[in-house]
Amino acid sequence: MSHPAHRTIDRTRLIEALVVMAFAVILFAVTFSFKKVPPILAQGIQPTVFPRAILAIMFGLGVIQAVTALRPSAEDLEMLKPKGPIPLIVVLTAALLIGFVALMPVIGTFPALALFLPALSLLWGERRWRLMALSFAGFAGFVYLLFRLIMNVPLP
Amino acid sequence: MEPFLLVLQFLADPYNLFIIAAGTLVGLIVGALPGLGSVILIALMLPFVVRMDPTTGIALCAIVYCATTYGGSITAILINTPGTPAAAMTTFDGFPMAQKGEAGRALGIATFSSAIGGILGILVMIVATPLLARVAYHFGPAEFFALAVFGMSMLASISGNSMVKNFIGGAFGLLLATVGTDLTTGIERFTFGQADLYEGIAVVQIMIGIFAGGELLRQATQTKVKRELVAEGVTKLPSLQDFKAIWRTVLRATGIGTFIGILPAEGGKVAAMIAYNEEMRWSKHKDQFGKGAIEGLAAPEAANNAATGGTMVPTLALGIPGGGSTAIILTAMLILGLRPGPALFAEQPDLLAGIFGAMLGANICFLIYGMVGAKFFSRITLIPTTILWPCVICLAALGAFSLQQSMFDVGVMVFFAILGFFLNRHGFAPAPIVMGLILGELIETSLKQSYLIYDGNLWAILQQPIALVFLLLSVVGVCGPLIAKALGAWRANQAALLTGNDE
Repeated sequence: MSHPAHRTIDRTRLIEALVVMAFAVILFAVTFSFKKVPPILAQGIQPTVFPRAILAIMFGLGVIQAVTALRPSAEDLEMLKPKGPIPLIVVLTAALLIGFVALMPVIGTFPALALFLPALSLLWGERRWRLMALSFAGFAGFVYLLFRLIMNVPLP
Repeated sequence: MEPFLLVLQFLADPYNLFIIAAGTLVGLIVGALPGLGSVILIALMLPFVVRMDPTTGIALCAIVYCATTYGGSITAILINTPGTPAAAMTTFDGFPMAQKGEAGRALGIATFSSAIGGILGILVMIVATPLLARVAYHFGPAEFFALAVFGMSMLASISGNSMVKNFIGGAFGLLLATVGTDLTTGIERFTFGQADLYEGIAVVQIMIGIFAGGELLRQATQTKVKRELVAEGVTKLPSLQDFKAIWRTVLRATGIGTFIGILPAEGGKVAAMIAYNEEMRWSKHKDQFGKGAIEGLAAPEAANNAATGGTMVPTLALGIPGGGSTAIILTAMLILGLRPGPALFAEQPDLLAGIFGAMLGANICFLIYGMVGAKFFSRITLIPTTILWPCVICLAALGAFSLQQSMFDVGVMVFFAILGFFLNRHGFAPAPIVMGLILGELIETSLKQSYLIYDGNLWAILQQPIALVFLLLSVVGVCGPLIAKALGAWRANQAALLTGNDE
């Protein structure tokens, strides 16, 4: 038996649903900026039709998600686990990855590798310097062999 | 007989045997590394595969797909960490056996069950794929539209995730497929003035980002996890007694694995789960499950390896991916200019023989590697994450760059890596997004063609018998899990009421 008095709102799911609905609405609005083509060229289906249909479905799914968030079942409530904030290490890892990609065209692939590989390894708690030096030097050699010599890719 | 002869011809070539041996070795190593698996490995291989000869490239993907599936079982048994999601059920009875000092016996049973399941699954694939492709000769746009919708509907039953979230992910993938210039009208859609998006969003880079990049950020939260071997992995051949005890299990699980594999969007993980549950249902000693029952080990291993053959059937015959790994293999085929479907069987019999032969060879090869090298593969697990993952992500970024020598593509990869992490954190699995991304073009094109053929009357699609069957199956696919859930809740309510009355 469900007890309405004990029901709560699944806030995380509600926020997810609202994000999905907002995303669908914004992109639906963007489709109005698509150029229109004469019916004969569009062969009956304008280029906006398919994306709009998907966005409408997406919005509908968002509504279902919102409704289930407002009326979670007993089973859902049992599974409700508060999500902590994103760990700092994830944010820093993502920042390092973005930094690596931004540095690649500026200082070159191999100098960027020389900075990124030990930086990420250190961030993740590795302190065995000899292992790091050997592994990453070997990896850089492998990259040179594979991309420059075998595949002939002009790396930045 | 002809497909079998072509397969034998492929296997007789020393170069192909070398590719099988090397690919299986790489697949086993990667399969033994927790976090990496067939999906990530094939995604990382894509930039290299698309530069290869098509037969070798696609065969190599198929080889590593088979080998990683088996490789995941080694770590599942020895360190209680499945190397791949498909090996998750293997930990239930494999690890308790290792704890009891029966690691060698467990590895032997897993190796034999995997190889037998894999080989039988591939034999079914060799027979079933051309038959299914022959049926697909009669498919027109309406049938292909209905088939693609059926493929999307299967997202409802991917276990472990919310059905609504799977569909939202699928819809997001479909939407991504519309980015770029519309081929019919030449109108730009969602390009936001970016010239790099005119030809569409880079599918390979999305896959590398969402799978490999997303996993990197997830691994960042697990850097403190220490892995220890409970036993050394020296594989022992199953005894005659063990073999007698598991042969029925292996055959049953192979049937389940192949069938589940053939269903679009399902894969080895679901096959292993169902096979394990079915085995427990059939078993006379259910109490032993979870404590080291050899049937509980043999069933998921036979099923997940049989599913590799099964998932290739709809991929090759219809162009509908059977799972995450086959979705990437399908992408590689499309980039190489190969259109899966009936025409492939008429025009490229050598390619298909290559894929079939490579998978068959990989299963035989991992049987040999598994028997002699389990100790080595189990030690690979101990490679520190702090060294491995920085290298993996650099390889991913450079691979993303190498396809078109474009930094924009690397940016796309990084964007989808971060997005993939967020989506996964909120329960949106990457597989539905990839399914949508791949099926998007087929759905839109076949819908437009149907509109033209039926003179603007899309209801006419329902008058095509095959299309109608697929659409009805889609309805069943979506409603089935909902009805099952409602029935379960009703039964639970009834049981609670009865208990209340008794008290």
